[in-house]
Amino acid sequence: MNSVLPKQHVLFVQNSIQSVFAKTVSPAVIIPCRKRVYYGSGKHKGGMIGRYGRRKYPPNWRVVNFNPAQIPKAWKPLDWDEKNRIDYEYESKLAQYIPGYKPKVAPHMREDHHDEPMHAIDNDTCSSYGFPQALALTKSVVVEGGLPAKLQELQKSLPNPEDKVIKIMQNALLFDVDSWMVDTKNAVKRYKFDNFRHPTPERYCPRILKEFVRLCDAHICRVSDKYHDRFNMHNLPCKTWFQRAEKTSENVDILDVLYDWKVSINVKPFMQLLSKNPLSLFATPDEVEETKNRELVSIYPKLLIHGIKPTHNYTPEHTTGFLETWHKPHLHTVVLNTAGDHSSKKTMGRMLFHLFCALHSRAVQQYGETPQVLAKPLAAQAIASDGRQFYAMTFQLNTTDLKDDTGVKNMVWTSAPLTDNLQIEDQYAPTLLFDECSPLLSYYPDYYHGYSPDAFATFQALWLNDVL
Amino acid sequence: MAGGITSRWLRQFVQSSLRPNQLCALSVTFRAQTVETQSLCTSCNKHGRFGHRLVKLWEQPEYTTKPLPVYRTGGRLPTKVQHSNEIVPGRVWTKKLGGGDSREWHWVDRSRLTAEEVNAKSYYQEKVIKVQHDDSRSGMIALVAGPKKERWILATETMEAGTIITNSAKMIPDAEFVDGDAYPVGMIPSGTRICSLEFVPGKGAQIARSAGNYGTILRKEGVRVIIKMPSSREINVDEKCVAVIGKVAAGSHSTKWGSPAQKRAHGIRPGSGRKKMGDDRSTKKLTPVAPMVVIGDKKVLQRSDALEE
Repeated sequence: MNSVLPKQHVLFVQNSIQSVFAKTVSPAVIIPCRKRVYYGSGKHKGGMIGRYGRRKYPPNWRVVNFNPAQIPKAWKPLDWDEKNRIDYEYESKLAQYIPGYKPKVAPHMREDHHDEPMHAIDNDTCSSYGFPQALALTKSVVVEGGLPAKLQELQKSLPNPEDKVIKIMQNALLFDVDSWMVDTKNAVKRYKFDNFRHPTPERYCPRILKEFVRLCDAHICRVSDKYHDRFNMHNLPCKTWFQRAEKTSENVDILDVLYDWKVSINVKPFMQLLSKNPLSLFATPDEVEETKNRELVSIYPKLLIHGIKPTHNYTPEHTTGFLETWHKPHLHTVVLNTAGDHSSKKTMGRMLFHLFCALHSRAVQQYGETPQVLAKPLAAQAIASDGRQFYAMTFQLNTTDLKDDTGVKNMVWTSAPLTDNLQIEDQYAPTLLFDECSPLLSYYPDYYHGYSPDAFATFQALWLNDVL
Repeated sequence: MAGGITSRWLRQFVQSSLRPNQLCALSVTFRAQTVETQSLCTSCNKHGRFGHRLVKLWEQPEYTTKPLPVYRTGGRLPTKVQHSNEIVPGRVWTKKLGGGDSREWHWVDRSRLTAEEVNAKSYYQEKVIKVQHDDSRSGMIALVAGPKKERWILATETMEAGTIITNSAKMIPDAEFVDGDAYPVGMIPSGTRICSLEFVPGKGAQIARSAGNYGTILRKEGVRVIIKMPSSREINVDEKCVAVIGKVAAGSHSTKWGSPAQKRAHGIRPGSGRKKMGDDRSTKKLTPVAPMVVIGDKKVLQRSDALEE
């Protein structure tokens, strides 16, 4: 063998033979090159193979995992189930020896397991269902004409300090210092194709909202003494659940589909304004009675719980985030940070779920869990913004009886005037604070354009409702 | 060796005795063992041709409408057996495959109505949300939402966003057999054009699924229905097999490649060019249409007495 091959190839051939008969797996250290030769078969034994004198794969391929291109496996790996399986017995043994260890328990063995499923709406998923589905689930109806007349009058009568609002906008968008600006050593990770967007809406949106709140509270302190009757809370959780049913349509006959569900809502709004006194109602008792003749929005052929995932592990409870002895329990407004939401139809559905959850939990604490038409309805307001787009909504809870689509319904007012056909997306137009505002707009005098005072006017009208 | 080896013992004998440089000369059939695994099969696993593309479906616990990433294999071999972590060489198994634009794979539901729903004579409607092209097939697909779940299906020509389609195994008076509706073949009147037809009830659509293709229902013989496939060959299937009325939507699909750059973008590398040289072997010969295919127990069906019993 050594006489046939030159000396420089001997070591490699010996190593390859040893690796063929070895039981252990050796690493892929083979470097194909022009002059090296592998073992061949037939006429290629001991000689060059092909035009270029090299193989594309090693002879000991059964041992060496030669995959330089990292081609994935076509079939499910055998280790897949073992790696992703949770050994509940091992977890229980760990809990015996490790103090403070919380073992993973099988879902059917948990304490909060129920046979009947519940369809859960969370803070992350409440923006994925849309406004028509939210209306149908909460048994509510849209009142035409935009916001209530009282709020439209406040929009026009209240003073609008444009200079201060523009300064807030510029401070948040132009004069904000981020790690990118201060980074001299390039420690912050930056990507080549990142568009210049500094700062992001997740940074300037909460800043603008808090400054607007500060402006409105400053106006209250100048004019009245009711500043201390209200309290502003951040990230207060709110939970509720209810029973909802749907009537089957004609001829429909499906396997394994129910028409009576339990639905739970668990949300955490960005900002909640709580007050000592309840908010005044937006509709008269006669208007509430007229809702009996109105029909709900239909999302046929989808079901009302379309897209809402069911779970068997839940704890049904009604919470408002604070104890019953809290001296400012009534909800006034809810402010939401919708930075990242691109669809206006879905942000309005999100606002409605937040309002319904907060008011339904308060109604249950006040009147009990039995579904009924409320003697004294409850009202609340909501504002959602991206820092640039502003949405406003008011809601009045008239019933907690959601088993039928008949009877008294809840009422919704929106800032955008909506038609009967709620599937059209163009009608959900928000009010814009500005069109563009960035340091790249050097051809505009103050680096912004498209400013409109309507955004702050609606914010102020909703925030100062029932105060002045 | 010409043709395919189907017997399992012969296949194992051949594979164990041959070396890897001799394996690529064979074409071996790897059949999906169950209905569940068959529904998970993608562009791979068709007559032993483990092609260029791969989708990791085992990572998905349940059906999803999200587009999944597609991985390239370069025509290289996977493992020989389905349930094994056997190591294989980086050898080419199928030629003329490589490169191409990155793709996304949409999980298309092959069965509009399951066998249980057909036996229970269920009826329900669905609404079309959007119709779009798919990278992994020539036809168009439609996102559809109904009382059960949101899913992707093969789109017919007249489907648009907002249309309502029916899936029924129940005879309803004044039922209109409109494009896009799915019924068991026994309910559809003869002469209608259908697509995405099942061979076996509950198995999923297998024929007439590519762009512009359709079959026609010729006649019915008791419990069996005779259909003309797109290849003009007849097939005899059970009346409970589900089919969709209409033609498969083609969109901007064309049978001819516009340029070699389009082929390379699709993932097909250049060949030798000998097929167009004009030999006797390369010319297309006119052959008579093959006889009718009967799916089911042939011995039972050939006896006409058995059907009457």
